[in-house]
Amino acid sequence: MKSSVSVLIYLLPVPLIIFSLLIGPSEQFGLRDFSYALYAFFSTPNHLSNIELARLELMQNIIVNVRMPRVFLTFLVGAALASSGNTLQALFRNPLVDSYVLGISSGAALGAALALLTGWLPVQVSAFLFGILAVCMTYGFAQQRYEKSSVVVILLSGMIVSGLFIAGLSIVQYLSDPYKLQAIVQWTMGNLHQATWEKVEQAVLPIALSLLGMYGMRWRLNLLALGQLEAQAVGVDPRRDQFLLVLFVTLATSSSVAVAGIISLYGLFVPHVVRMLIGPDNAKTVPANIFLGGSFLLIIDNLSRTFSTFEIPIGIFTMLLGAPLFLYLIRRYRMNWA
Amino acid sequence: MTAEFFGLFRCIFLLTFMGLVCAACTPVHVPSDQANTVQIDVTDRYGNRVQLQKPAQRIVCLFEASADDLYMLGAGSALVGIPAKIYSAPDLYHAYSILDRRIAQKQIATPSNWEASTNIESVVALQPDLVVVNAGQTDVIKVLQKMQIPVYAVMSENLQQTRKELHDLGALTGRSERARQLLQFIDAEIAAMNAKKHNTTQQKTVYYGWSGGRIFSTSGIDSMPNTVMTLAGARNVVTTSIDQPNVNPEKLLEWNPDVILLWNSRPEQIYERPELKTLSAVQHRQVYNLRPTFLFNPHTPKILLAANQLQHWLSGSVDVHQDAAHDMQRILSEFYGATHAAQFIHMAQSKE
Repeated sequence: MKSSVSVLIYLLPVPLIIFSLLIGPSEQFGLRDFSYALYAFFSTPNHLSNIELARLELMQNIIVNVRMPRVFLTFLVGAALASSGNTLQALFRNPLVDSYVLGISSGAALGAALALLTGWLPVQVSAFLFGILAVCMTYGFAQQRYEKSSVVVILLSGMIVSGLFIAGLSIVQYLSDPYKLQAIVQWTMGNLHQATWEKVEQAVLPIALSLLGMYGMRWRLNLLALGQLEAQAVGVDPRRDQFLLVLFVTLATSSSVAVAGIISLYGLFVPHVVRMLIGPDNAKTVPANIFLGGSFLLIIDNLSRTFSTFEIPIGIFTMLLGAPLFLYLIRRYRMNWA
Repeated sequence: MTAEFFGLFRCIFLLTFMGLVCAACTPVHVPSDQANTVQIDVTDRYGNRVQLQKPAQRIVCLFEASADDLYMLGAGSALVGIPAKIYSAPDLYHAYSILDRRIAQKQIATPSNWEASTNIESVVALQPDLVVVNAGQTDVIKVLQKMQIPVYAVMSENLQQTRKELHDLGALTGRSERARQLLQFIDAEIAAMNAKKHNTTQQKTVYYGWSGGRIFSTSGIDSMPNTVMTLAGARNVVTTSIDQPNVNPEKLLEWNPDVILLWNSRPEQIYERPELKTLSAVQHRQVYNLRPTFLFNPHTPKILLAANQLQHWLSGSVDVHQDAAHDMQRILSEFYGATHAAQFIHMAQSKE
């Protein structure tokens, strides 16, 4: 059963990406029109009228410049958030942890808000830098002079740093005019409707590197999940590995937040869904989170962009769809983390 | 000894505290012998009745568009409190500095930042005889009314409200005649634009993009930008009634508007996007920016200026820029006088 689910998870992205490219909010460019255009182009390419050619050009523009960057960006962001959440849950041995626990989301939100208010830096760059800054502060505050920082101290430190950045965000919102406030609020709800190839280029390298890093360390993650002493007993340097994994998570999450805003709780529930479907072995959950995380966010975004003529922020749809699914799976698999 | 001392201290503290609570619960007695001498009696759109013995001399205006109205009415000198955003937003500060030297020197108090962050103590300390406040600040309105301070609530969500508020502010400041002139001018301008509308054969379509580069955030049919389009004789491509929906670029390509109207965003943000290159408005260079925003504030009578300029841009005539500039001079002169109009136009040109 679990192996067939695994196969399904790994095979899902390709048909889903193709399907996502063929649907959109515009009424005139659905699946049927696309099939007709392809048929017309291949059957009588030299006999197409100017109107048909213009329509083909428009369709090509929509698919190449609007849908493709959005579909790829959504998949990347979903994969990054889910794998980061999975890695942190294993690393901190805590099922309540998500990809934003180290203060990345609040840091990035403050960075984006400052950029929107003052224009001192591009929004994505500012969000990325502040996300990294928040993680550095979390680790800085959690550092103990004579002994290793415990997981609880790191998590507490992350919460406090988040609180600090949220306070900063509140100040910026308070000082912002209504137009900028609207932009800040919308940014914090998650937004993929402004996806461009430029954003894909910005996000693809750090996210791909981070995902590769997490994938490469998936076996070590199993050892780290046993605890620091146990990991040391089998020859693993937990501090070095923990540092590397947190670095990958920070890079992946900051890049995602910078290009797509905050998509709440996605990094919390997708790793749980994956564990329910294929078990707790991190050697399997890491790649499964990459594939299912990307695919599931793509499904949500497909609904988000085709549901009505205007866009509904993806952060809203994520919870509207993700929460019932998660609750259903909890009941279905009778999960109990006690 | 120490225990007795602390016991006594506790008693004194409790008695003082109870006294303060009782004092706070006692209604403040404010002499109210003014009813017989009321000369001005206005009721705002939200049912607040404002009665004044004489035209307001000390006005705290916490709604920026209404402060602008007061300058158009010639009552700007009565302002003793304004929103801090007039100082902090460069466009606004520049514009209001032209209208009032006190603003240029930052001499007028700022008891609120934006429309929803009022410091009541600062307002009261200014001893206003009229407070103009955003209708959404219901708590502030109630507190000020309890203190017997006349409060006029505004919102300016559509042209009808703007007209009523201009009329009422004219009455409250003793500038009813000037308000009447402005309202007549508004009617005449709308009639002139309607006449032009009937001469055009085909209604053009417009897409509106919000400020600060939010080009995919637009405005629905119940919005002020929609009123601008309607006055200009155009049709909004967005048909939803949501005030500020986000749209997919794909939808914009499908709508393919004739003109794209931006609010404080650079047209290059449209022109430079590869996915929008097939848009008719992009191919015909029909992307326009309403900036500086002060000159086109749709919550004031200047909504006419925005509509007028849009109508020129829609016309596509050869002398479009010359005609638009001429009308801008004419309309601003009517609102602020010829000298200020010239300064505003110079300001607009320096922003381009």
